[in-house]
Amino acid sequence: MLMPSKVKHRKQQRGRRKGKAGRGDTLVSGEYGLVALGNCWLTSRQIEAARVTMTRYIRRAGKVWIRVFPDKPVTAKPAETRMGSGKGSPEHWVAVVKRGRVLFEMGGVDERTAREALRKSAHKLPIRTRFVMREDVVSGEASRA
Amino acid sequence: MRAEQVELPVAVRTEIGTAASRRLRAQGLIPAVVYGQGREPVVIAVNAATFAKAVPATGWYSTLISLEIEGEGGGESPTVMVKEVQRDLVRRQIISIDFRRVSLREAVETQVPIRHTGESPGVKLGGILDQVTHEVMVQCLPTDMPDHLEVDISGLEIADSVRVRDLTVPAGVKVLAAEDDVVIVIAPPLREEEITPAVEEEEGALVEEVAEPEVVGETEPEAEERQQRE
Repeated sequence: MLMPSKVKHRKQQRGRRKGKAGRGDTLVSGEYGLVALGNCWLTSRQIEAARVTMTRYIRRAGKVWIRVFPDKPVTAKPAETRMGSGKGSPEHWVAVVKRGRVLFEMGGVDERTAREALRKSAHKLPIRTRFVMREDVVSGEASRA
Repeated sequence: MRAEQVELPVAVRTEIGTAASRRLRAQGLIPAVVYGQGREPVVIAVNAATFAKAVPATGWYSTLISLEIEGEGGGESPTVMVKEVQRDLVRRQIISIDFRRVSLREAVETQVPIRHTGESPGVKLGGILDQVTHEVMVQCLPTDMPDHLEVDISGLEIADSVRVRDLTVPAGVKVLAAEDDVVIVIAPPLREEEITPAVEEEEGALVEEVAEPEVVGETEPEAEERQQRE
């Protein structure tokens, strides 16, 4: 599963998850994508479950890009432990996702297959999502005088 | 194929600012601005439905538009191209458009989409069609602007690719991207390990992952001591 190979600090503070995505909001590599409509912490297991679901559905026909990376450690204390004695140890890794963020991209398959594969993988995620196509997400500055 | 010139009726805006723009959007209008060619900028409002009908999303940046500006301070019909379109991240609605005035005698630079035609024998054998470059920057006169560039993939086997230098470009159009940039590649099919989960399922439950990443600056004895403490 996805996790960093090296970290500067073992534990992090929780932070805020308000607002919209400031980056990663356009399709870069694929023709289709899945966009987050809510804010959440996406665990490496959820990302992996969604990836496996879509690759199994498209079999070997298409290509999948994962546009989020779980680089935030989440700590937990062991069960039946009294409070105190400091912060728990890192338990799993999450990606902080804000609405508008492209989570996955897909290419090399027809629209119907991509739509169904991404619909099935969306069931593995804790937030509402939207299917987008390349013409839908053209945005930003594309030309200069 | 050369992009067509379309006519777009717009109205001069009298109010500017966030609140006024929100009121416009509630009425189905998009706040926009026209600038360039050393002229004073003009703030305008475009009907969202008319814009969507006149200028398809795939050709926003390559379509030559003749604006018909109505209202106080208007009355002119400048030839413009879309410089920037801003969209709401979640609702995907257009929230603002920048038009730049263009001279029909001066070359402009803009992004043009690339589309593929034909069926690749490599794809029929299980290869994956991977379009690496979807748009390419071109320089030409506004009247020569193609609405898209085509790539024929009917001769591509697995591991074959098309580069920018292989593109068929209309006369008068110069592609500004590097010649070696890959446009389309027929990638080999996915391997089995790319389809199976990273952690194997065991009796219905996922195996707990125990490995922790290396901490930058932490020596081995320090890491061992920390693990013992925990």
